[in-house]
Amino acid sequence: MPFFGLMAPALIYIFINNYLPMFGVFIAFKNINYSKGIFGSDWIGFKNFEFLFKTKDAYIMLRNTLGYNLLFIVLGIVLSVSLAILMNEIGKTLLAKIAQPIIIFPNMISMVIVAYIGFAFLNSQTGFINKSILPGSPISWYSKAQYWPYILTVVHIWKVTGYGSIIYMASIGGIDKELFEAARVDGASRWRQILHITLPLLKPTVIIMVLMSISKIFNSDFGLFYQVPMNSGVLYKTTQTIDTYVYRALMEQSDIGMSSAASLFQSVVGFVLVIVANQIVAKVDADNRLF
Amino acid sequence: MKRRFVSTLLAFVMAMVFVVSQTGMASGEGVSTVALYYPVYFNMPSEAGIANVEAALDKYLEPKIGVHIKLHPLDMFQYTDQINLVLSAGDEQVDIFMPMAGLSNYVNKGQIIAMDDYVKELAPAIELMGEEFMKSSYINGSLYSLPVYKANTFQWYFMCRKDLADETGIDLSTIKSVQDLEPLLEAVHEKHPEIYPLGPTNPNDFQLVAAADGPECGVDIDYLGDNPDTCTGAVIGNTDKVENFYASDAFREMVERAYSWNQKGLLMPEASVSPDIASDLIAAGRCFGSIIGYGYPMSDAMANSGTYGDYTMTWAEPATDLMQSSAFNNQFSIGYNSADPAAAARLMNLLWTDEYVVNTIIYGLEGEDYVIPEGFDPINSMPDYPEGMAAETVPYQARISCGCFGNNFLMYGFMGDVKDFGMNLINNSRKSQYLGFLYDGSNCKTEITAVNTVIKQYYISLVTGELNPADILPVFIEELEDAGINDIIADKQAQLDAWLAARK
Repeated sequence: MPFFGLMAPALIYIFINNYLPMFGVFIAFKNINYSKGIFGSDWIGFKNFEFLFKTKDAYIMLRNTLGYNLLFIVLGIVLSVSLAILMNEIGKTLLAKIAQPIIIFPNMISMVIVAYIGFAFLNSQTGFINKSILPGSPISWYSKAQYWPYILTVVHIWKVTGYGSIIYMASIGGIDKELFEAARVDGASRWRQILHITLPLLKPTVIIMVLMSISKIFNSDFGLFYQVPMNSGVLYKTTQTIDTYVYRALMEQSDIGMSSAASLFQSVVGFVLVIVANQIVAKVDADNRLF
Repeated sequence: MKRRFVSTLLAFVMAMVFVVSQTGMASGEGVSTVALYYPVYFNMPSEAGIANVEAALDKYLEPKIGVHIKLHPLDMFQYTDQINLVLSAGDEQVDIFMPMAGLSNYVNKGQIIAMDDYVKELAPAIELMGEEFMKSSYINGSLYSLPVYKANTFQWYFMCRKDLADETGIDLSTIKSVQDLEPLLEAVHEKHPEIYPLGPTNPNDFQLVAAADGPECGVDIDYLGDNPDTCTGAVIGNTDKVENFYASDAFREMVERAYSWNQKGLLMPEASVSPDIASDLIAAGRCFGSIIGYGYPMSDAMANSGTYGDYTMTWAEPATDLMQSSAFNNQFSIGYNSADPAAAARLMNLLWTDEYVVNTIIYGLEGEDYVIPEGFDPINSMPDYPEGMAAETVPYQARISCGCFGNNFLMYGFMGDVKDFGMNLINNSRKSQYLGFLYDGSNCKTEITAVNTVIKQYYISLVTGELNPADILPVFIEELEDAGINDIIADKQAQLDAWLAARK
């Protein structure tokens, strides 16, 4: 009983915040008319979903959303885990105390500010890169789509890696110190300790993080893809994701039917992917599956 | 994004509950509260200032029409987004607002109500403007809005620094079209390569389309209720045939001009992503001029009112507008959840006919928000700010809302020369043959959304001259066709044909 008492606030919160609005999914299948009300509006089947697949943008935005997310998941885990291990190796020195806030700081900066930091670098007239690094042959970054996969990846890594490493640092901190001592007694080098103790014991955390990321694989960091390229139309080929497409498409129509349809599509595909990924994990390594 | 949709939905659910619980208490007698959502530029009035103005207006409105007013000023540049959010959430009563994203959009979604039952309340306002001016307010024969009474086409001005213009020796009165600006811009560029000859009036917009689609371009372009950057089909040259504006010669000419000006260094580079605007750039000494449209006569006083810093400004008059349905996009309607539409209509009528109400909402309260200087001429001049105050510091002012509020010509300073100039534009602007035709896009929602996404992708880079139209236009047009623009055009054509047939 005290167990449920403790859970109650969180459960109620989740119910109100996550489950109650779910009945609104049927809005995705309606032609909303405010005078008739949401219950009185006409059913229109899957018509609200059509705009997502109407143009070849559908392919571009799906490719971008999936591609970037896969890249971000892989790079994010490799870099965050490496960073966590490195930070752990530094130990509790003064350097670590200074370094930790610094690597987490980028995560606190709003994407709008990040976009302008980016603009200060990439601006073709006065930008740092064109002025200092490429003074002879300036590139007009905001009209060349081919550079943006790199730019966005760098910005994303810069922003989230430090923060992402916290959870791994915590896991490493939770590893029994005796394991390392025993290894040292047996003469294992630091590299060997990382390879045979830290990494295997981090595996469950990594799997959970991957599964959680996969559930969001159809969602993208809106700020990153909308603000950082300064909403430049020429760059859509490499910066358009489902979120930015939906935002752009519906900003003017403000059609909640189509918005709900897009949101439902993202959620359903994300849900299916989590189930599939979890099944795969269950097959490969049953102990580490999520459910 | 997902969370925003979800919270919108949640708000919506709560709103439904709210609306249901509210309907019992619609005020049958006595005083009704009417919520007015209107746009304000630059400086938002303070809470206290709004409360004082409301109190003063209530004293006047209660005995006169039985209304308590609730003022909701919204930032002009976010007006459409914000009003759409308020309407979608539905928990706030919206009695009077501006359907700026297109009247038929809101009618289709059932967000505004027909005012046919309230024509009696609105009669003085309707008579004042005349049926001719109200053509774009009817959908399927029902009245849905009152258009803001003002000069609804622009005189386009090229505002520029006088010292640099004089230096070139070019007579500004010889400039009769946007194309005529080229020698002037080139001359300035040659002498002062360090400053931008033409800056963007608004972020990402040099107005090289809006100022070049009027009678001066030699052919009448009617966007049929759309804007140049959302056009899903236009009639070009009174042919009764709807066509793809972006595939037209007229559009190609505009973007080729932009590209060639960009190549010659006459435009601010990277305007498609830069947030800079010309007035700031000019004030900072980095720009020569910009193209801007106004519905009032330009004068030395107006040109040098401080927007452009310390430089003395002069101007040319390169273009006028074709009056078409979109000229009436500034209009006011009654919201679907209005508690007492009759009261809303009574208040609306006063926004067009009552000098006190209009000026109080625009200028605030005498003594607190403005003072009447000695020898004040309300016909031609605006009142002053109180001693030591300015636009940013007075508790309440909505002065720059004047262009989009009720009857423009009842405001202090707008009753004389401005009115004459505005009436001249209203009466003598070249009028489109298709004035009053409003396209109902509900059959092509999917296509319209898809087409607009394609337009967003290419339009800004083309009109800021950053992409070579020779390479990009064919791609742009092909993608528009893939997105279904021809379906929309066919649908529009059918509706236009029906409309034309009904008029004969």
